[in-house]
Amino acid sequence: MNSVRCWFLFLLAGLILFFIMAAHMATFHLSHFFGIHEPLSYDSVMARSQQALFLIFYLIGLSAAVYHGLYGFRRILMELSLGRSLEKLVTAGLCVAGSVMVLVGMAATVMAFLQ
Amino acid sequence: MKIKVKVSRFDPDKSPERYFSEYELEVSEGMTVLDGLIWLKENADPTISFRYSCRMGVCGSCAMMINSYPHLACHTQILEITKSVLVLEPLCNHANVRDLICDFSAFFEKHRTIKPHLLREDAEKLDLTGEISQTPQELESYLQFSYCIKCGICVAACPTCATDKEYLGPQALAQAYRYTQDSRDAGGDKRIEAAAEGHGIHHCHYAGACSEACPKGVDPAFAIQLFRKQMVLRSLGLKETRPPAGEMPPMTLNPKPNIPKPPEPTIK
Amino acid sequence: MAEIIKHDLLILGSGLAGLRAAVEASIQTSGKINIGLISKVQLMRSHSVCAEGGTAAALRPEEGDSPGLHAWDSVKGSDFLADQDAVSRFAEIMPSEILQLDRWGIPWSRRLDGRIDQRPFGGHSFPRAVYAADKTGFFEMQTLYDNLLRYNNFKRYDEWFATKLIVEKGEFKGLTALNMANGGLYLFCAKALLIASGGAGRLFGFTTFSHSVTGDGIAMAYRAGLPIKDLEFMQFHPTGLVPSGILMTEACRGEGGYLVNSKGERFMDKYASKLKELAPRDIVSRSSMTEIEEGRGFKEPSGLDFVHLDLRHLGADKINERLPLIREVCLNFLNLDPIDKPIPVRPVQHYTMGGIHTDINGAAPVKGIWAAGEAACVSLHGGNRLGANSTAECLAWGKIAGAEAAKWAVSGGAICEQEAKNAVPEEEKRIFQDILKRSGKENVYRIRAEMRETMDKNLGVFRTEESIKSGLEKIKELQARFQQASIQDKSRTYNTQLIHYLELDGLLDLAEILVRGALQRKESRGGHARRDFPKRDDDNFLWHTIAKYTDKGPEFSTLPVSITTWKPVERKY
Repeated sequence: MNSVRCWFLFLLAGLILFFIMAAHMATFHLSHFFGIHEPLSYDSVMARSQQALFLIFYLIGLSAAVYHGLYGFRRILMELSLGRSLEKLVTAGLCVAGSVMVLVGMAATVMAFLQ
Repeated sequence: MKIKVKVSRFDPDKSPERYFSEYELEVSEGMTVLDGLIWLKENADPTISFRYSCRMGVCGSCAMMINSYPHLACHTQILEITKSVLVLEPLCNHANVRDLICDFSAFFEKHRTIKPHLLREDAEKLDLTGEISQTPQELESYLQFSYCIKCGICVAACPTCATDKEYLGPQALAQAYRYTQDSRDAGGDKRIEAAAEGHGIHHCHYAGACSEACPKGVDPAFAIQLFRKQMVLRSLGLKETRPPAGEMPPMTLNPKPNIPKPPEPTIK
Repeated sequence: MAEIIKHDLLILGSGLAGLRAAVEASIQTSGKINIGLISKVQLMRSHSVCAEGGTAAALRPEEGDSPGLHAWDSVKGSDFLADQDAVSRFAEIMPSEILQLDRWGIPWSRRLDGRIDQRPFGGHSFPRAVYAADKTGFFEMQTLYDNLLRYNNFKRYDEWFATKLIVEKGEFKGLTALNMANGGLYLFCAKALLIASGGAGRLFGFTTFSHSVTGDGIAMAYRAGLPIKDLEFMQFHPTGLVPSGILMTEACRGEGGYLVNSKGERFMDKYASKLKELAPRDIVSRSSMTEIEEGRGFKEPSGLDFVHLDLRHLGADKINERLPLIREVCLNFLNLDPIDKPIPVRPVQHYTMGGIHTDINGAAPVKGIWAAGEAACVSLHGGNRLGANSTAECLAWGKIAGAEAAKWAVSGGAICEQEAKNAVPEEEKRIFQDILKRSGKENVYRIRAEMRETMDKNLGVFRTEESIKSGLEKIKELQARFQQASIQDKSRTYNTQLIHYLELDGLLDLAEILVRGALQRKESRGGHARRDFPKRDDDNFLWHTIAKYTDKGPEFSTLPVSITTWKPVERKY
């Protein structure tokens, strides 16, 4: 059942990303409709980062994007018929890489929030 | 009408090279690709090798690539495919061993790994006094998926099978769902494990080519989606696991009209 | 020297009877028996998958059916040539076989309350054909195959062609088989052999049979000296699709379909006023053929004149639910929808009533050999098989013979490879020197086509002294020409031309047995209808025909019919 749960998480992450992407598009590309003209300037990034809502948004978005992306990447690698032991290695490697990415991202987000 | 037939040839005894042999064939209305091939073998070139048996789309022997699409040769009328050139090649995604013949051992083995039979704890205890109940609706819920003739066409059409040799493939996965969905079965968890782990059901890319190619209307892609849904619901504990249907009580006496009795013995 | 492969039990043929036997042997020995399953086709490609209409069983005593009634129907249907002790045993065993398959997961068609449904079938006085839409044989094969996969005690030899049965001093020693994938000849040694290799339908050209049904097992047994029984009784099914010969199941009529001639008459009224279209097959086929021969058929350019099978009044829903395969086949092969148009059909060769002679347990008169299914002749069907009794026979004697052979293999039998080995060099020489290297002028396929033409023309639904004699002459000529037939394909890998040659070798033997048997049976009984002797003659011909191999051709003798319950009476439907 583990693989079913992993796959379901992948779907769930995809669903979350759908909304996050919508929010992302709104924030960065349609932002002038909301009166923000330079969404990527240091000031506006920091201003957003210090809102609790954005903190949650970033943390969830980060986890979902990393999980969804790496799960999909692993699927592609698996199609190369690597053999069981190499497959385990790849999975472990991706888990470590994913964890590092999420941890680094989280640390940056939290630090920005706390500043 | 005369058409040109190009047949892919390969004989490992002679040469490792594949090549095409070309023949002329007089085609009539209603003639199937298999009819054409048999005519060629009997009249033009007895060395063409291909599998065939039932010639009515039930045995699954004669699947091949016909003008680049996987079809059953006996189920395909030539004039519906072409009026000029017919190209026959061995099935994709199966190892070619000679001419139009492919090795199916891996394919059959995958079918076996998904436990294609009813699994229930009480199997040994059931005596043979009554049938197990199964309503027409319960039957309907899996019947379509049991039409599979193991011809290998879905695997030839599947893009995942093309790259991942270990992928269980649409045939085996559809059969896993067929048995799990059977109201007489209680082996869902075991079969889900067999179908989901490793290169199993989650490798499906939703291409749907299997369902389009299937000559028997099995719709393996649909089975895969339904199976995935069931797997998720089970893993989240949202689907109650039902006990397998039990034996029905004996019928009450209800004689049909006009049934004769066997005549009295006239010997002894 | 050929490699030797050893098993406890060899099963030759992977159709219904073979698979049922393999499953039974596995159950009886709790999976301890070591089985070799040899088949010239891949598993699940056997002709059994083409069985359509149903499997007969007296499943509903509560509704007025009984094994006794099933037995009576079968005996009467057989034109009183069936062995009645075998028929009784069969009728008793069938209900549990139906329930057994239900346990194993077959999708039987159901009644609304969840019980197994049954439909009417020709010659049965109770609607007792249990069915799975119109793909009954297919689903039975699927169920047995999938269940066999529970066990690990069998090895598949898919696409291995058995070439010679080795029998010495009345005992089974082994058999040689050609591995089609690499062209090698192997020697199989085992304690027991079960032959379940099917009938010999492809003796005929216009036939419902798969191309692979070439009677190899019967021919091989014949060459090894086993007695072949009642081969002149071939069943002609009334409704073969014109022009391909594909079977239009009897269930079409069981569900209510009509047979109609070119004058628009339901002609079966004339021939069987009570059962009409649901009379036994021999009667309906003779009637249909009479209509066609008397000019009340529809003309077909190739000469395959036909009558109509009309299903239109059944309605789209019933056709789609009960006869989906029939509709699929008509649409696919004739671009004709039976919902809107009647189907062109004519009598077509459909079943081999005869086969390897066995006793009631399926044992052949050679120690260590059993036979089951269409390859065997128990004799359950006598002169004419009732519809829905063939899949039933495969299940019943698959189980009986499978269990018996398994019992022998784990307790009594022994493997004696030394004697078997001696026979191998000769067989190697025959195949690899004599046949493969021969350079003759004759063409295998030409001879095969002429044989089929002859059988269709001379030994069809109606036979006469003259037609049979000219058939015999032609078969003798073909046998002589066959000695000059050469093989152009010299490859070792999937040499299908060599296989076709070996098949034809056996078919020509069987053709001769059939024709000679038909010649000496001067009466009309079941599937053997003679214009010159239109009546059944119990005084002179109430016996089984037995043919045994000699160098000069088959030697005939007779065997009494086992009549244990009912004396023969006139057949009226």
